[in-house]
Amino acid sequence: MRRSLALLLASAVLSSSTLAVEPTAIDPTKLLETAREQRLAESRGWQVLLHYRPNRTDRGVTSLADSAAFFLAPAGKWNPRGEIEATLEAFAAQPLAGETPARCRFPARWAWLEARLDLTGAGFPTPACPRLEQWLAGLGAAAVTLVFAEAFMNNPASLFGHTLLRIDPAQVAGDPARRDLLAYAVNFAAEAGNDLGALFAIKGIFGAYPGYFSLEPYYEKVKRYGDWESRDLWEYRLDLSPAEIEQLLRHLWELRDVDFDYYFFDENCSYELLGLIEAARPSLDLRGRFSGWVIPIDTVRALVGAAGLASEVSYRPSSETRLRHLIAKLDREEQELARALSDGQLQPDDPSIASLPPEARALVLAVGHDHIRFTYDSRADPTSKPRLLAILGARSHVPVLGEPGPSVGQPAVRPDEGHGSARLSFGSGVRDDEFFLEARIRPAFHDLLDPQGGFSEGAQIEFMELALRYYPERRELDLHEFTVIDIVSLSPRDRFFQPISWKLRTGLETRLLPRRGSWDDLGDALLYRTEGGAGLTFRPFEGALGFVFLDGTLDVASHLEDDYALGLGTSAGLLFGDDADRWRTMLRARVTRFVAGETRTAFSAGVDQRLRLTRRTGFELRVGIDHDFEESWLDVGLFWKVWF
Amino acid sequence: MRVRGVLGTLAIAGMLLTGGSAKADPNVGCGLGTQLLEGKDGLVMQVLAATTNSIFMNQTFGISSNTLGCKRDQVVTAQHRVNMFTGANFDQLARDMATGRGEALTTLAVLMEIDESDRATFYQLTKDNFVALYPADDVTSGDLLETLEHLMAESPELNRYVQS
Repeated sequence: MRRSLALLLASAVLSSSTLAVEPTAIDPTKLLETAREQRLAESRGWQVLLHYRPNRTDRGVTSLADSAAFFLAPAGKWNPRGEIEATLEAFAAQPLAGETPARCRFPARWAWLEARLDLTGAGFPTPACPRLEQWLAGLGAAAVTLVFAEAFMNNPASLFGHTLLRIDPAQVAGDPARRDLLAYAVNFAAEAGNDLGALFAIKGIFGAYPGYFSLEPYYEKVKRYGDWESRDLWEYRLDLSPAEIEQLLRHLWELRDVDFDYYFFDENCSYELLGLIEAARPSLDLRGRFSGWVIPIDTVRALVGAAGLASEVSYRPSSETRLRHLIAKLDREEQELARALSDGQLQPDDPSIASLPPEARALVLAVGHDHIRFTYDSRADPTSKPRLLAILGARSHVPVLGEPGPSVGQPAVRPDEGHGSARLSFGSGVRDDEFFLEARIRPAFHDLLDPQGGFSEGAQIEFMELALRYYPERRELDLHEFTVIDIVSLSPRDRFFQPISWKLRTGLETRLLPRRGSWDDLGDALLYRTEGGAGLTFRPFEGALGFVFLDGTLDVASHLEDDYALGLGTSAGLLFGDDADRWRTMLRARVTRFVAGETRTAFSAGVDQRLRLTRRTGFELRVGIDHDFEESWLDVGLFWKVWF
Repeated sequence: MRVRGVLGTLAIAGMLLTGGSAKADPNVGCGLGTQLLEGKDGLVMQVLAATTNSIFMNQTFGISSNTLGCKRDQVVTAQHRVNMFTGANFDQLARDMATGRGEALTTLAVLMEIDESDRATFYQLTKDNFVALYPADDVTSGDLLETLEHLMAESPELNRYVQS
C-alpha cells in the first residue's frame, strides 16, 4: 500500500516537473534585428541560396525557383528580406509531430545562418534529420567533378554539349582503382515528357518545360552518353573543400522537387549547375559574366578560369571512340575478319580467326563483339545475343589480359581550350565588279573551317550569324546575310560505320534577283532561303572529308515569280587541313534545278581558305562563282577573323 | 554448400515455390533479373524519366531497370549495391570478365570488398570460368552472382569473401 502511494506521489511530482520543463517557443526577434543590421538578406550568400537574380526593369530581384514550396514567406520569390525573416521564424518554431522540421528541409540555409547568427547559441531547436544524414552517408562524398559531354548532333537539346556534376566517393587509402562508376551524377534537365523534334525545341526555347535537379548513379550517365549517344566525356575535378562540398549537398537537398523553368538558351543545365557551385562557395561569381545565352562549354571555361577551381582533367572516350581506336589497330585483313564476325558470316572459332596470334585474335574478337553491340539498336537482331556470347567465350580462352596496345589517347586540345564561341569578321572584296566592305558577327558556335581543336570533326553549328555589306560605289548598305541556323553533320563512312550526313540551314540573304521581273535587270534584293539535305561522306585521305549531298531548297522573295522558288539539287565538297590546325580548305560545288515558282537552273562553286594567325585570330580568303538567271558573277573576298 | 545471405535464402525459396520459373522468381528483384543487351530502348525511357521530380530519394541508390525489391528509404546493404551494379552494368561486366580486365570488373571487385592483392586472382577466376558464368544467352545477373559465389567459395584465395 505504502509502496503504491509512494509511486503515485513520485509520478505526480515527475509529471509536474515534466510540465515545468516543456520548452517554450524561441523568440527570434533579436536575431531578426541582427540579420537586418548586418543586411544578411542582401548579402551574396543569401542571394545565391535563394537563386535571386536582379530584375532587368527595376531594382528588385526575382528568384529563379518556381515552386511555392521553396519559399517560406508568401512573396519570398521577390522578397529576400521577407524570406530570411520567415526562415528564421520557421527555424525558431518547435517542430510539429509528423512534420519535417524546417531545419531538415533547408539545411543549407540553416548552416549559412548558423555561421553568421549562432542559432544554436540562441537556443534554436536542433532536431535530428535522419533522412538527410542517411542520404549524406550513402553518398559518402569526398570530391565534386564537373563532367562535360560533347555535342550530340542528333538531338537539338544536345547541340552545344551538356554538363553535369559528379559526386565522387572517397578513395580507400592505397586503392588506385578509379571509383567513377560508384559516383553519383547530379543533373539538371527539362521534364519534357515524350515531346520530340520541333515541338521539343520550341517549348524548350520558350520556357514551357519545368526543370529539376536529379541524382542517379554515374554509370547510368556513362551508359547513356558514352554508349548510346557516342559522346566523349571530359571530367574536371573541382577544388572544393569538404565543408564546401557538404554545403553543396545540403543545398541540393533543398532543391529536391523544386522547379526551375527551363530555358534552352539561358536558364539551362549548365547555368543551373553553376548555381550549385556558387552555393558551395558564394564568393565565386560564375554566372555574372553570362548576360544572354549560356553555352555549356563557356561555363566550363568559367570554372577552369575561376582561380584554378578545376584541377585534374580526365578524358573518358565513348564506346564509339574506343571501337574506332581498336579498329585502327587492325590491318585490312583483320578488319575484314572482324566485320564478317560481326555480320555472323564467320564464327569465332573459325580457323581464320583461331590461327591468328593471340593479340591479333583478341583484337578481332573485341572489334567483332563491340561492333555487334554498337549496331544492335538499328538491327535488333535476335541472333545478336548468342553470337555476342560465343565471341566472348572465345575471347575468354585467349591468354591476353585487357586490350593489347595503347589505350585511347586524350585529344591534344580539350573542349575548353577550343576557339571562343563568338566570332567577328571584317574584310572587303569584289562581287560582280562591285567593291564591298563586309562586317560579320556570329554569336555561336563553330563552322567546318574554324580551328578544329576541341570540337567534333565534321560538325558545324551556327546560330544567328549577321553579315552586313557596304557597296561604296552606290553607297548602299545591305543586310547581306542573317542566318538563323546553319547545321551540318558530316560523318565519314567506312567498313564499319555507315552514317547518313545531313545539313539544314535557314535565313535571310541579299542576292541578285530580277527586280523588275526581267532577268536582264538583276539587282540586290532580300530573299529568305531554307535548305536541307542528306548525303554521304568519305575520308579520301588522312584529315580530309569528301561529301556528296542531295539538297532541297525553298526560297521566298517578292521578286520571284509567284514570290517563291522550290528547287532540288545536288552538292559536293572536299574539306581538309593540316595536322597542326593552322589552315583549312573547302572546295565546294552545287547545282539546283528550281522546278516551281521562279523556275531555272542555278550553279555555284567556290574555294574557301582559312589561315590561322594567332590563337584568336586568322584570315579567310573566299572565292566563289555564281550562275543564276543566266548570268554569272564572281564573289571574292579577304577577311580578318577573331574568336572571343 | 554455403550460399551467402539474402541471395541464398531467396534462391532456395524461389526454387522450392516455383520450380525455377523466371516469372515468380524472387531473384529478379533489385536488378537481378537483367539479361544481356537488355533494353537500350527500355532503359532510355527510364533514364529520361529520371529527370523528373519526386523520385529524387529513390534514385539515390540506383535507378536501373528493376528497382523492385531494392530497399528504398531503409539502409541499403552492400549486397544490394552489388546486385544493382551488376544488373545495371551487365553487358560491360560480361565483356570485362572475358577480357580479364576492365573498369566495371574492377568496380565490382571494389563493391565485393576484395583486397587489391587478391584482385588479379579474382579477374583470372572470372576469365577462366567465363563459360560457366555465362552458360546461355538468357543468363540473368542474379544467376551470374550466384555462380560467382560458388566459384569463389571453392577458391582457396577468395573463399574468405563469401562467408555468409
